[in-house]
Amino acid sequence: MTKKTFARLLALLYIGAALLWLGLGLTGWLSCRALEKDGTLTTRELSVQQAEKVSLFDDRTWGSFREGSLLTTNTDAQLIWKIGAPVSGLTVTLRSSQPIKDLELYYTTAEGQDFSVKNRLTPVWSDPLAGSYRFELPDVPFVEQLRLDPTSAGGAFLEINDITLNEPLSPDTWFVPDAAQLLALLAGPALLAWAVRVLVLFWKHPSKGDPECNISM
Amino acid sequence: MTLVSFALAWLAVLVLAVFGAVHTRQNAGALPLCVVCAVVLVLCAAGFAGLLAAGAVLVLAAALAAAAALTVQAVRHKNVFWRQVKNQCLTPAFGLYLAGSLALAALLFFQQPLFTQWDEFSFWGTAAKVVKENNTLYTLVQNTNLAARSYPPALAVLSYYFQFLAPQFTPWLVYAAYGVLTFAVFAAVVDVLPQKAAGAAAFAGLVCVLLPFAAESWYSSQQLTAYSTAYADAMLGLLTAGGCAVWFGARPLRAAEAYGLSGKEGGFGTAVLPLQGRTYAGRLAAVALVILVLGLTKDVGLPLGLVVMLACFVDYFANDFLRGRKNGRAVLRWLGVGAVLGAAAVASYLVWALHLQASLGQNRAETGAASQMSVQQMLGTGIRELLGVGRTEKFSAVFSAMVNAFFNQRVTVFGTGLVTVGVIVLLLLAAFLLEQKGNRRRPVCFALVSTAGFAGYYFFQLLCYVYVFSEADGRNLASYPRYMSSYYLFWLLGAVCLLLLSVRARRKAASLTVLGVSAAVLGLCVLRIDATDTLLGRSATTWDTQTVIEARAQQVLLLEEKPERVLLISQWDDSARWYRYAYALEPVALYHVKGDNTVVELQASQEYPLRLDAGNIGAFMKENGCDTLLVDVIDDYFLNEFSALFTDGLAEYEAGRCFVYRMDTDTAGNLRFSPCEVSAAD
Repeated sequence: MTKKTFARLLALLYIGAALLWLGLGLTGWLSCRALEKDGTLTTRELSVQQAEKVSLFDDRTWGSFREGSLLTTNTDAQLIWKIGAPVSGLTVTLRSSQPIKDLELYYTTAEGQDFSVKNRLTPVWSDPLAGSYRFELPDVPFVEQLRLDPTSAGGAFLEINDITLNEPLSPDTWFVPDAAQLLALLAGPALLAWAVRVLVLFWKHPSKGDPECNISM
Repeated sequence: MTLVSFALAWLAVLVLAVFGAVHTRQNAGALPLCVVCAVVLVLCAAGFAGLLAAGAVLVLAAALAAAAALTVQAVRHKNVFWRQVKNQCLTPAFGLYLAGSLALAALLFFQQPLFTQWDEFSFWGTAAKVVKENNTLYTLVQNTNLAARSYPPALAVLSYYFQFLAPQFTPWLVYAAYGVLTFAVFAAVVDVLPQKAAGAAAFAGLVCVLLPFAAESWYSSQQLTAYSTAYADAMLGLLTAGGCAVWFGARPLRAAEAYGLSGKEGGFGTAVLPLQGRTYAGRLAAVALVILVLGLTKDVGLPLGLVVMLACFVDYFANDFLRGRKNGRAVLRWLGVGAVLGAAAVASYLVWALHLQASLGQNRAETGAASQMSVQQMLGTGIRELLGVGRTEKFSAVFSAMVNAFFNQRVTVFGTGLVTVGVIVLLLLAAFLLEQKGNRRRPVCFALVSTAGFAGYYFFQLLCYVYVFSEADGRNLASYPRYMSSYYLFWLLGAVCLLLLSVRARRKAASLTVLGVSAAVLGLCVLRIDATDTLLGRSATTWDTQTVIEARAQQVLLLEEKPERVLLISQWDDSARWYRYAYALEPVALYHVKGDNTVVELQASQEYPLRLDAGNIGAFMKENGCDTLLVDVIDDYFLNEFSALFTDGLAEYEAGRCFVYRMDTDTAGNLRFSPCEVSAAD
């Protein structure tokens, strides 16, 4: 493989990666917009009372409701809502006497499905001093049930309120890559091009000597 | 200014590396490691003399002088200079160093991570903060919350160098400084490749970048801290591998044409010594620098430095001595390798021992262990017990647990210690088979020395568990995978380095093997490591605990009359939050009321057997010159017992507005705590 062919291959792979990224982002963004337009994806408030089930890990701790909030010192409280619609995100405000620990959102996509770590989210944004946390699901999956695990900090006084479903997502969500994606976009095509080059050279000249001494492999 | 501080320090390393490359006629790949090690040693020396800031100024001035010299040379010898710089510095290894260290710094800058791990607060992070805020080594600071001040200072001064010009201590710069050293080691490893093997270098770089994750992946559901920890474990493994890579990578220079210059042009650089001699002396000096820094990184750096010394000593014997003329001079040169590198290892130990004795009056030979043994006694007793003489039940139990852990406990992404050693053997076997017949001694020597080193390191860890650690920690092999990760990381990187050496002999076959190895490591990492558990995909809540703690501590630090001592109320804390507050409040001393309401103090490492209640809290605080209360976490007991003493009934605390209360008395002389007026942070 000559240097010119290698450069062309490299350019092609970078253009391909950029197009793939843009295509996937555009598809996600457009499908979300379509769901918003036909009214399937709407912003709405969820209250603690609406929860289908509030599970308290330890019966010795207490939990009570006051003005739409759950007050608890439970170490593993779980709130489960039946949704039955596409979900793009959830925003919640938590006030706690201890910093929130292990705040997670689980979801199921079909009836009868169990919650699992495969469908587990951690907040993409948080303001711990104000107690605000945001989860995002840019794929906007159909969600059967949502489960919020607010904290695992033992003995914390916890107040949960202001739970908002499907707040509009910024286009950045689809088009601005995170650190892992950016690394894959930058390094992936180069590594792939070099892999092709090594394989082609080995395929064409499997012997011990190096026939193209001017080629940098 | 924080960014400027990092950028200037990084540029200084770059300039010094280029200057070194041009003047030694070596490829620049291994030079960032040599330069960073030299910087650390200069700062350590300056720090011992109480002139740490002067040391940093000296390094920056040296870089400025080097830049000026390079500019003059570039003007005078325009064509030759730039061709030489291009040939020596535009290499895959140097590119990996530049791109990797900058990319990591950029990622850290955008993420602004904070410390999260226990020992970052109990020593590694706090030490870096104390050094930065006092512009002096922590051994010379009188008023500090840092309890363990006998740990060597190399990593703290490395962090200091990169934030020397920053207005205040910044945690992400600590990680960025470690990142510079990390990528300097990777560059030294990749530098063993031929200059034109860019493809193999790309995959070698990928393997290097992934190996810290692979060596740390001991527990699937745990957050991986590679590239974002102030701990020394990974650095120890990297430096050990870096020392070997510098040795293996050095090659006899073939005069000017090696750099694309004609014989007449001669190349740039001052030929003070004969070429072959310069290579010998140069690589010896470079490895000695790394060994010195290893010894000043952590106590366990001494045995690892000895492993590097032995690897180079045996390698020189098998590859240089046996092939050359075997006269008296050759014997002297061979023995010189051992003497110089051994002296570097011993010197790093002695220098810190002398400084500890002079500054803190501590004897470094004392292990500070529950067993009250000196290092020599520990070694003697340990060897006797290993041989079955007077073996105690504890030694037998820990020995059996260590053997069991090697076979059954997962330590790397590959699996248990046994599986990891199997992977290393496969890599070394590939290096052996792909290497030219005449050069096959090198992988064999490395395999033998590193295996002996592993046995020694394992024995050293056994001794630590038996004689240094507490009873429970020793028997449970506390942090076993973390301590072992240092050696596995070194061993894996060393084996990769030898595999890369074989690319010189069989470029295509070896490149294909490197490609296969990188694909396998990448595949395993993708399958076994969740990106959200790494620096790349860390949750937004990762640093919430520390953010909240620092915001509360800031309320103390911004008080008009900053207190010297604070009583921290954090009920049912296992001391984790106490260490976090001690770090955040440094140097304000901290008394701590635990869940059982006993009081402990950090600065003097004292435990007060005093139980606090509403009747004695005032007397206790007065006796200890403390009038400030930092209310962090309270429980029903505290509410019932103490809330009447608070003028607001703790309403400000419950509303999340104020966490700091000052003690005074009302007109009737009764004790009370009033919420402090909180200033806004800058």
